[in-house]
Amino acid sequence: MKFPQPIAYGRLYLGPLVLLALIIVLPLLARGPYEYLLPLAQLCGVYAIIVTGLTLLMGFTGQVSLGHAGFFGLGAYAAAAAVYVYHVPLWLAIPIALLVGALVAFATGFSILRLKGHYLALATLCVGVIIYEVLKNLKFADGTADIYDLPEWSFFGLLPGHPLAKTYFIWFVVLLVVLWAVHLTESPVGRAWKAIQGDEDAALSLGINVFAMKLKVFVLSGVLAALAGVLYAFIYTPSYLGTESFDLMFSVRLLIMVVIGGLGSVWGGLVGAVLLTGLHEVITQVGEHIGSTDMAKYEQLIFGLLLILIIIFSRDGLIPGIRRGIIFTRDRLVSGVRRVIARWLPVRRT
Amino acid sequence: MHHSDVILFLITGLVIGSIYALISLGFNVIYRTTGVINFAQGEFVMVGGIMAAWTRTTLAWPLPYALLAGILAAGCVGVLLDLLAIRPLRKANPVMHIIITIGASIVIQSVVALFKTEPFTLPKLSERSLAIAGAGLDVHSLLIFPIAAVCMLLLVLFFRYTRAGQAMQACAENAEAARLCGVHTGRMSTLAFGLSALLGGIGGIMVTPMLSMSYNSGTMLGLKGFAAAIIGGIGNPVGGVIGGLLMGVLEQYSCWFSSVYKDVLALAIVVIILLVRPRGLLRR
Repeated sequence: MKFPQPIAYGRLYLGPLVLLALIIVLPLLARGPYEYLLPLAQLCGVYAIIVTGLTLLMGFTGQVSLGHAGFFGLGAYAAAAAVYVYHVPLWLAIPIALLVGALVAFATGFSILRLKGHYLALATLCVGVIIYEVLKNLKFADGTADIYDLPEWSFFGLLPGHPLAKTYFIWFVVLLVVLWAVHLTESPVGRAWKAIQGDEDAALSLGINVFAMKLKVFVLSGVLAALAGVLYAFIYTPSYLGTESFDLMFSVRLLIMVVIGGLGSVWGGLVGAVLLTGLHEVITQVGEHIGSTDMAKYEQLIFGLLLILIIIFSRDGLIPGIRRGIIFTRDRLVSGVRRVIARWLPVRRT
Repeated sequence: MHHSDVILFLITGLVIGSIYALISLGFNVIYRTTGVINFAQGEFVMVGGIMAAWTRTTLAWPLPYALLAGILAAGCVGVLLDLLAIRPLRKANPVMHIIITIGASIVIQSVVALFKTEPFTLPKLSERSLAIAGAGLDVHSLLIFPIAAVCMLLLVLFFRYTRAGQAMQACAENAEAARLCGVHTGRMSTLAFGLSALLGGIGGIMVTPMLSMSYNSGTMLGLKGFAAAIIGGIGNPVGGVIGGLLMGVLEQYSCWFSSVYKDVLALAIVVIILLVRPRGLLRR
């Protein structure tokens, strides 16, 4: 019998090192006409943080959540409201937001995580929509839930508000989160998660405190979503914060990101976040090119089809699926060509 | 609060609730036959309503044909959903089924949105209104009761007295054993999706004259129907119907407290019931 072996440090850190190199080099290339890509990269980074948490929850522990858009919104609004209404300094608002995210995730997780499978999916969906509706009905100074002109992070006086600095900062956070997640998945904790995904009863009989483990991972993913929310509110769109980006559709979009990248790999989630945000940008660009401003429905159609096709044909993610597809077609082509050659060139084989 | 309002709210709640009951019945038909939780149930309602409204207003078909077109369109969507999305995943785990029905619901919505994003309306079956206990009620909404009741009765008869219905029940009991007895489980799953979509379509053509229907109205209706199914206990059709009526009435009365949080209340009930009695209010 083969026991799972811990990976060597060299291999464990290879991925994060490559990521670090990409983070340093790629934003420098976005100059001149390509500078509009920097905000897009920031958005990718924000999504990557939530998706990493969700990958730990769904891909490793096997618990579906359709409510993380709610935690995302909660983080954004908790920090924004603290600054906007209560005039709390920013350095204090961030831990407050994370704490709120953690508390709400703990309260919901503590009650909900007893449920399994589709019951859990439904319960998280309801929690997400409830948080969204509550946020939507908040009333600030102008009677709506919109917040304008949040203070920007100044990065210790360095390049205040410069898109390059913002991009570096967000992706630096992403790097830390990914590094942490990779470590966790290779630790005994990560193995316990996988055991829970495989068979809860078996995991329980091995002495894993299944409920506590699920709760931890749920709170962790909730906090990561709240962190992403804070970054979203203060760095990506400090001039305007509305509730429309935290609805049920966003939870579904997060689900698509997790599934596209492939459940069961932190890197897959990262790829999914980047791919889906990139796809969104491509669709918007195509829309501008053909002069149509309302591309949202086409985008939704494409995302939905993508989700269905990936679930049917390649449940471990888009990239392994494409690789298998290429190998499959190549083999078919090679054997086809061989057959044609064998038919038309009757070479006598010995 | 005047007592006529109380009665009006009760009747409106029961009317909307019988729509939820139809949706939750559709959920249960699918769940009992295939074990799939269908998150695209609300889209059947939406497709039924919009197809009827479109054929009636744009193509100017006579009303009965338009209504029939709506129901049949929903049925076709159900069958297609099973053939294209559920059947390739027969052996996957329930989570994959959930994800794929969510994907299907997005696709159905956006295909409808490609044609028209503005809300559709449909004329009522009857424009007359009756005065009951000092409250004005239109005949259309009162017609919803008997129609929903007839649907449920037909469904019961179908399950009890037809071969296909009994085969579906066999699938619900034990799919493996049913297959050994020569029941084609795949075909039964298609039938279940078709039937449940027909139910959704009927709900759709009944609700469209009252609420008007746009491409994204199905989600909330589906969620409420799902909530009804959970109140009654998933897999318990009678409970689902009672849950639907209860849901409709509760929702109407919740307007007294806050009209803004109407949907929140429905979802909060779902969460609480899932936590306190995950097998439904009606099960011991």
